[in-house]
Amino acid sequence: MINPVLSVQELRVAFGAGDTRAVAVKSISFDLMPGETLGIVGESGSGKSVSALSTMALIRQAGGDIEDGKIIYDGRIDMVTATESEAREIRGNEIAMIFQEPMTSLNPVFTIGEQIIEPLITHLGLSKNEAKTRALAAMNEVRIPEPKRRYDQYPHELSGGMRQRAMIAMALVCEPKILIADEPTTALDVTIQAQILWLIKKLKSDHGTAVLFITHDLGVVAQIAERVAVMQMGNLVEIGAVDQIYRAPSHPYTRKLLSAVPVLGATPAKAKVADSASIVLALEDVSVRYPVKTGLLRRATSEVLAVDRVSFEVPKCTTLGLVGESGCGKSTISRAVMGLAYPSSGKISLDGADLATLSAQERFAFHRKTGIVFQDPFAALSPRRRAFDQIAEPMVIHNWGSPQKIRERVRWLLNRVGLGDEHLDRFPHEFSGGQRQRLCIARALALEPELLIADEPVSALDVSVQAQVLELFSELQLELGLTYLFISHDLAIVEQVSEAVAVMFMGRLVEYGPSKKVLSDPGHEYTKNLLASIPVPDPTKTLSKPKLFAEGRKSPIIPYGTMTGPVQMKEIGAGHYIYS
Amino acid sequence: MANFEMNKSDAAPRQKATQQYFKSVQDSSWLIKFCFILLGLLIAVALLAPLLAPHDPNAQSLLSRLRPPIGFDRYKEGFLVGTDELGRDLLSRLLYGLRFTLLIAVIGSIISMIIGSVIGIISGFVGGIVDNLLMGLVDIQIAFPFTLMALLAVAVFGTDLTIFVIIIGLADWDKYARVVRGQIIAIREAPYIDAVRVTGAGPYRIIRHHMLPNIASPIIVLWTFGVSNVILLESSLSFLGLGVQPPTATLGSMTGFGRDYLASYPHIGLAPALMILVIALVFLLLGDWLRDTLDVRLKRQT
Repeated sequence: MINPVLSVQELRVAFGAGDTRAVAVKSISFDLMPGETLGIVGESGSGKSVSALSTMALIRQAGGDIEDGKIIYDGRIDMVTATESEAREIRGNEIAMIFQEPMTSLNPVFTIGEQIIEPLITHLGLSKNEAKTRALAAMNEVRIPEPKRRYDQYPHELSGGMRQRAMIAMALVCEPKILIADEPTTALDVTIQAQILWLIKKLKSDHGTAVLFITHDLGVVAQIAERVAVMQMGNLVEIGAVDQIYRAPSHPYTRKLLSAVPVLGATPAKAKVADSASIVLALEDVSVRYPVKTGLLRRATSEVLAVDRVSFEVPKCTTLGLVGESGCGKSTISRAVMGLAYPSSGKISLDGADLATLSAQERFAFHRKTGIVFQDPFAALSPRRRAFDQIAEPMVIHNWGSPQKIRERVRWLLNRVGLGDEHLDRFPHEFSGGQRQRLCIARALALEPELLIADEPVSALDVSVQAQVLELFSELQLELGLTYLFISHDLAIVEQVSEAVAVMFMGRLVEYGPSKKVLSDPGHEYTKNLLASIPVPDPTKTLSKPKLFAEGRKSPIIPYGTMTGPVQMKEIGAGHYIYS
Repeated sequence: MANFEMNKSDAAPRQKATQQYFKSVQDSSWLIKFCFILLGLLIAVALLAPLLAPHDPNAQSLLSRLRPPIGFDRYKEGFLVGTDELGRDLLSRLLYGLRFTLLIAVIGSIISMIIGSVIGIISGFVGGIVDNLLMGLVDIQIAFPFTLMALLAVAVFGTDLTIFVIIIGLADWDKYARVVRGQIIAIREAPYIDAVRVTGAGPYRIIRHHMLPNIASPIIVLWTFGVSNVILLESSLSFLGLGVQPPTATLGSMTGFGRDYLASYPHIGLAPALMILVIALVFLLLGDWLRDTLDVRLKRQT
C-alpha cells in the first residue's frame, strides 16, 4: 500500500476570540497521495484557503488557531505540533505554495533570479553559482523565454503570466513533494490560464509532485485534478474521483454548484425581446488615446492607444456582450460611453444624440438615461453611506421627486432586486458580495435609465450567486425594457445574456456578430484561440497544449499623433463581421 | 432644494446614529470614560475659573514669594499649589491659564484644520497646475521658519489675542494639506466615486457626501495631534514674548517662566507642564477612540 504524502485528519481551525470567534474549518479529513492532484473546490468563505495555509503551518500568521486535528506530512511530521523551525524546514523545501495574485506575491525590489535562488540557498545550502544554474534550468522548465535575461529582471518588467511562471519556478526549484496552488490562475486571462494549467500538469507528471489545487472554478478543476474535494462552509461535503464528482455527484451542494456553472453552448440562443429597430447606443469609429508624458516639461511624447476605431450598435431591449482579455480596451469603452473618458476621435451617440456635442444641461440629463454596474461591488459603494442614501443619491441629484416619493421608490427598488426594508439603514460592509451587487443594480436603475452598462458585474461573485444575479439582469430587461452593454471575460456568461457579441483584442474590434454564430463558429483566429482556452467542466474533455496567439500582440504605445488606418470589417455571414 | 430634501429623509437614521454614538460611549473602555470625565472637568473648570479661583491670578504679594504646594515646608495657608516668583497664587493662575490655553489650542488647531483641509481637497481634486501651485505653497510654508513669520506678524499687527490665535492657526495647516491631498488622490479614482460621477453629481456633492466621510479619520487623528502641538507652540511663542503678554497667564508662558526656577522651585514649572500633559493625553486618547467609532467598517457586522 502506498502511504499518503499528506494526511489531514479531523482538522478544525478557528479565528478570532471571545464572542466573535468563528470556526472556519470544521473537522475535515483527506489524504493526498504521491503524484496525484487533489482539487479543492468551494465558494468564498468555504475554508479552502484556510485548510491550505494550515498544512503549511502558516495559519497562525493569518490570525487563526488550529483547535484540533492532525496534519501528517510524509508519515513522520505533524505540522500542527511541529515547532516553527521544523515547519520552516518543510516549508518551501518539501511543501511549496503558489498564490493567486502574481502581482503581489513576488517582492518588487528583488530580481526574479534572486527570488528563485533563495529557497535553494536556505534549504539546500547551495552556492550562489550552483543555485543560479538550477534556477535557470527551472525557468527553462516553466517555459520562461530568455531565462538568462529574465533572471536579472524585476517583477514589474514581466507580464502577469510570466510572473506566475516565475512563482511556479520558485516553488518547484527545490523539487518539493507537494505543491499547493491557491487559485493560481484566477487573476489571469483565459489564454494565459490554459498555458499555466498545462504547465502545472506537465511538471507534475515529470517530477511526480503531488498537487493540492484550490480553486472556485469547476471548469479548471475538471481539467487538472484526479480527485476532487468539495467544501461548503468549513465542511468537506464530498470527495471522490473527478469522473464520479462530475458524472454522479452525490451531495446536493455539489449538484447545485455544478448546475450553476454557465457552460458554453449549453444555453439556447436568447430569444429576441423586441423586434424594434431603434438603435439606443451607437459607436462610430471611436478611438481613445491616453497621452504618455515624459521629461521635465511633461510633454506628451507618445500615446497609449486604448481603443482603436471601434464601431458597433446596440438596438433597443437587446444586450451586446463585449468580451476580451484584460487590457483589450473593453472597460475604456464603457468609461467613454459613461462620459468618464473622452474619445479622441469618432462619435458615440445615445438615442441618436452625439455625446460630444451635448451642452452642460443636456449632459446632466444624459446621466439619467444611463446606469452603470461595476465589477467589484466592494469598491463601488461608498463605505460610509447607508444603503438608503446610496440608492436615493441619483434621485436627489436629479431632483426626481418629493422625499416621500424617493423613499417609496428606494423601497420598491430594494424589493425589486431582492432585498428588504430591513436593509435600508445598513452600511455596505454589512452586506454580502451578492447583496452588494444587488444594491449597485438598484442604484443604477434609480433614474429609470434606458441603457445599463454592466462592467464584469458577476466576475467577483461566487457561481451560485452569479447565476442569481444574471437571472435578475434578464428579468429586469424584460420588465423594464432595458438595453445592456454587458462587458465580461467569460464567454459562457456572455452567451447566456446577450444577442450579439463583440470581441476585442488590443484595442480593436476583431469580431462582431450574433452571439450564437460568433461563439459556435468563430471567424477570427483570436476568437478561436479564446474559445479553445476555456476550461470545460467536463473531465472527459482534456486540455490540449495551448498555442500562443502572437499575431498583433505588440505594444499599444505609439508615437504621439500617429494615425491608424481605417478599419475594414469583412462580412462572413448574416451580420457577422471579422477584422481582416 | 435637493439638499434640504436629503436632510429631511435623513432625519430618521441620523437620530439613530446619535443614539448609537451615545451607546458606543457606554460600551467603551473605562479609560475612555475617564477621559470623557476629565475633558468635561477641564472645560468646566476653564469656564468657571473666575468663580473657582481663590485669588486674583495677577495679584502679587512679595511677602509670600516662591511658596511650595501643600504638604511641603514653608507652605502658606490658602495657596494650595504654592506661589510663583512674584507671589501670585499658582492655582488661580493655572485655572485662568487653562482657559486661555484651551481657547487658543482648540480654535487655533481648528483654523489649521480648515485651511489645510480646504487646500488639500482643492489640490487633490483639481490636480494639474493648481495642485502644483498649492503644493509649492505648502513647501514654502514648511521651509519658512515659523517663528520668523510670527515675529513679523506681531511686529505688524501687535499682540492681540485674536491675532495670536490666527497666527497659531496658520502654523500647522501644511500637515493637513499634505495628508488630505494624498487621501483625496487615493480615492479620486475609486469606483464608488465614479459611480456618483456618472449620475451627474457635481464636485461639491462628491466632496461633501462621498469623499469627506471617507477621509475623516486621518483628519481627526491629525487634529488631536495638532491640539497638543499648538499648546507647545503657544508656550514657545509666549516664552519669546510674542504670545499672550504678561501678566496674563497661559499654561505655556507659565511653564516658560517656571524654567528659571526648575532647580530650586520646580513646582512653578511642573504644575502647568503637568496640566499640558493631561490635556494632550486626553485629546490624543479621545481622538483615537473617535476615529474607531466614526469608522463604520470597524463595527461588528450584524
